[in-house]
Amino acid sequence: MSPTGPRSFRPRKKSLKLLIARLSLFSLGRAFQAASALDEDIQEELAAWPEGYTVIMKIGPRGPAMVLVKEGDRMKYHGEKDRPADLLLTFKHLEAAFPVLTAQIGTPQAFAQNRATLKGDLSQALRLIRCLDVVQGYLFPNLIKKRIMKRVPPMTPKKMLNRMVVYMLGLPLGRP
Amino acid sequence: MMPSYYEFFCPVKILCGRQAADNIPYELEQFQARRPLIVTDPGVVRAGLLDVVVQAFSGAEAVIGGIFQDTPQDSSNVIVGQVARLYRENGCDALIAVGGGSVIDTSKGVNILVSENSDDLMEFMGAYIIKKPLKPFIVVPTTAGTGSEVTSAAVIANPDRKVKMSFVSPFLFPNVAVLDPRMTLTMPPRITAATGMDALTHAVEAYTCLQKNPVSDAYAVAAIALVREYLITAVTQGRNEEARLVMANAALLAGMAFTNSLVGVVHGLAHAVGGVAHVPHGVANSIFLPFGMEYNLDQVAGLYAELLLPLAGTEVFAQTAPAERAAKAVAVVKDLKQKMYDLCGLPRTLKEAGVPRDKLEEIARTALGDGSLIMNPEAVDYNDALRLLQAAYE
Repeated sequence: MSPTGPRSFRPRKKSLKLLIARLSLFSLGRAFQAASALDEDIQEELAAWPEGYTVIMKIGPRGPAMVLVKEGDRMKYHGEKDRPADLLLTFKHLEAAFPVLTAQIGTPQAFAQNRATLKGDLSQALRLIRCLDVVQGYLFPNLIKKRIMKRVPPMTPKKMLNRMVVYMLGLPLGRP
Repeated sequence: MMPSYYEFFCPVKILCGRQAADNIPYELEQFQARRPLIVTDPGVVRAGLLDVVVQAFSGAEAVIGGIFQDTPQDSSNVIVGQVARLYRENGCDALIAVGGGSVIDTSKGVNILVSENSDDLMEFMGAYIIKKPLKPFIVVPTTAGTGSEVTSAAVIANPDRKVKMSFVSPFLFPNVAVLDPRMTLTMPPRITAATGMDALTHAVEAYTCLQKNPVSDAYAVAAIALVREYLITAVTQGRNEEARLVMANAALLAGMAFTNSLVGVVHGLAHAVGGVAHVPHGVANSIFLPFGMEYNLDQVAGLYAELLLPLAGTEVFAQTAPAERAAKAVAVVKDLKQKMYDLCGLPRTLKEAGVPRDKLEEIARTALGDGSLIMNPEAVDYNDALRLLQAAYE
């Protein structure tokens, strides 16, 4: 039996999954920024956060991140720029994050399956989760929403309009 | 139903039985600890329970490094800071909590500060922030309900910042839990009832919330069956050692279940009504349990149907048609709540617990910030919370 070379112990890179995860965080960040400028439910939640309140969602140990900072009455997406966070949600690793970022499972399931850790005030994390629910409401069709959300919020005419703005300006251009 | 993935962890050594407290010095020796600080409260001291633990050190190599006996019912970061200073000034090397939920959570907070050599608990707020093992920590519960002796969480108020700080970490598990029937024999009937209903609530929510798993299920079912068999005896015959010990075990089993499966809307409302209107946690859980079960009925009827067996026993289970078992389980919990009222006046409604009606909106808003809602099977928004509170009012 020939000895196994060190090359055999080297794990394969997960470049494609990493790229998809990075794109998902980018889309979520831009959608969050756009929705926070449009949606009253999100703005009501954000009113409790002081100016500069920073939320970071990242993939450990050295994966991509999504940085959101409260500026005025909305959250501004700051890409992956590392900075101190008031609320830091860290997925344990890429495989833990992937089903969540690709909308195969919802936020409650992500926590139920111990996929992520949270640093910060838990009650503020609840606000973040409610905001994420609204953002996901804009991003995904009902079929996916039913899978990942406990209760699918009704799509009012105002929300339909917001959804169009999120898709036409928010995701491609990072506006409003 | 098998979850697609789960984790279960509970590394606590359990010492259970008459004279269990006498083993505390021996357990400290296993950690090479020689100067423990005892944390307790005035009620425990008045009831003579502290003497049981102090007496255990007679002839032991370890000596008591200090005693803090002023833990209030709702502890805070200020108290935690005071106790941490006492620990450092007296050169202590371990902690012993003798009391209920507040004493145990305070001790967990102290353990964070003295182990991390910090003065600021806020640094460690959140889930999985603590990164290293803490000082040896032994818990002697004097109530049978919170299950804190086997949980990885602590909640400590920060009145300056108006925050209830939550801490979750596998390093927060105590090293040893001591269930000694002597420690709960003097518990008055109403507190026995409230803490017993607290344990029942832990078990029912553990069995039905989103993070449930086969291991937590086993503990939850065992806990419910023990509550069914012994809670009424513990309330009516306080000096019955067997009933006391069984209820201590029920609380412990329920604690092991819910620290791994987490809890839901009943706890979310109970924490909020505790924070806003200062209703004791066990009393609040008892009030909300049937309402929470009814609220979740559509989502988890099958699970409630399964719980009828430990809740009511084999005869009732067999006599109830499968389609009616879930509703029957809720009815059994309602009956038990009524029995607790009849036996010792345990409040059945928020009104009986002294909650002003004009506080309901504030309680509903507060509940929305409670992490328990994440794992509840049914979504809960402000209107849902308010409706539940109104239903539970009178």
